[in-house]
Amino acid sequence: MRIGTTLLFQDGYCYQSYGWNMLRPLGTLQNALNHLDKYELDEISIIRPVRDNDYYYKKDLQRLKKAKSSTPLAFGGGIRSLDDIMILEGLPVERFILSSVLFDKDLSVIKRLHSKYGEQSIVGFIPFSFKNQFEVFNSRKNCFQSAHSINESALQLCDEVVLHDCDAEGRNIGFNAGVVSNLEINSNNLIFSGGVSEIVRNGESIGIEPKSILIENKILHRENSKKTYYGAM
Amino acid sequence: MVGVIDIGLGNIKSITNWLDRCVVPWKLIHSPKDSFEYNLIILPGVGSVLEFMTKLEQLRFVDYIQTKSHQGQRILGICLGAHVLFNHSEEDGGVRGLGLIKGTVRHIPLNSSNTGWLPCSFDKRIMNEIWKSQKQNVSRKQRVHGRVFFNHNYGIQLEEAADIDLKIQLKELSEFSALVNKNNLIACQFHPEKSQSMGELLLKMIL
Repeated sequence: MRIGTTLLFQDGYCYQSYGWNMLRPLGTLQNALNHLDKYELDEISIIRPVRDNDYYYKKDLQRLKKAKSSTPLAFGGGIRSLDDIMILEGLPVERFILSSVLFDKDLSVIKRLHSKYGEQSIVGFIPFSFKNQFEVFNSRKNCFQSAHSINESALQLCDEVVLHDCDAEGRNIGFNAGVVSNLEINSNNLIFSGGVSEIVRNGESIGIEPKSILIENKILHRENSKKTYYGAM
Repeated sequence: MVGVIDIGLGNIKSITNWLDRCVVPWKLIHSPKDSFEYNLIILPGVGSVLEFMTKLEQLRFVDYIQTKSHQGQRILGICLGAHVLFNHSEEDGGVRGLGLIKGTVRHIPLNSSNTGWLPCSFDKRIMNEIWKSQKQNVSRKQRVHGRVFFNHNYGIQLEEAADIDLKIQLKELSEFSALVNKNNLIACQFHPEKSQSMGELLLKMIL
């Protein structure tokens, strides 16, 4: 199982998100990447937390083009149309993360990415909440919806799918792995994010072995700091 | 000087960042008319083979790469850039490659891609001998162990023996090659540019 992290990135700055509605600034993208490179993580997912209006897509791509990292990068947030794909060229990333287009009946965006960057490059991203009932977040509409609104054909074109627990976001525990049964999804290709940490990564509390987990920045820094401290003892 | 073929596809920026980290001077090759003499030409690749080969043909890089290869130019193909060095790829319904190394690129027998890190080890003495590295430090340990990053759905199956044929260390993928060296050509299935310290070491051994 791979261990990576999510890095929320918008308008030039990175953020740590809490409970899907509060952002705490972490600094510039390059500064955050420099710190994460030191941990030699397996992967970093750079995600733009955009909602219905996306004003900074082109500017953020320009900033991302200048980013330097020795860790495999995935990028997503704002890839919603064929025009958006046109300007992805030249990014220092290996994989692309799609969320809003998973709700579209039209598969042209995902198919274009498929033919241009290969099937191994597409990662689906499903933010979910399970407070009263199981719901998934449609970023383009800026609202939670029924899980049935996801296009299963789009999901099948994804090489891997990130399940992001919005309720547990910003915490080191609480990822609700039970939601997997609510989705028509290949459980062999899952990435868990939101409320996961090294403490719970070894199976029992999760129940399913994901291909990867994305530990949040705050948790990652704290756990690595602990290791360093104990190492010094 | 290292030349990086730029056809507008793939993760060129990751390659140039890797070269910068290793303090290796580089230049992008935008046209087959480029007459500069390079120590190494890198053919990067993140994408699908049909679009990649079509772009190589449109921009007349097919003849350029084949001619350079026959002239003894060292060429490093990475992932998709490595796949096109072979005769044929099964991807996108079947696409003819550059035919510089005898072998076929086949779909890997996994439910999804082989994405992640796998252990890898090199004997520096053998690598240095074959790659005639300029810098050889005999006082350092000769066998290096580390991990390299893979992200692929299709893998290389060789038809003939190569100087170096390192297999992918995964039970299901033991028939596929992770690294192939044939004379002046190096085909690398994993991404050395994203393999952290192991990738940097590999570049130093190649150069």
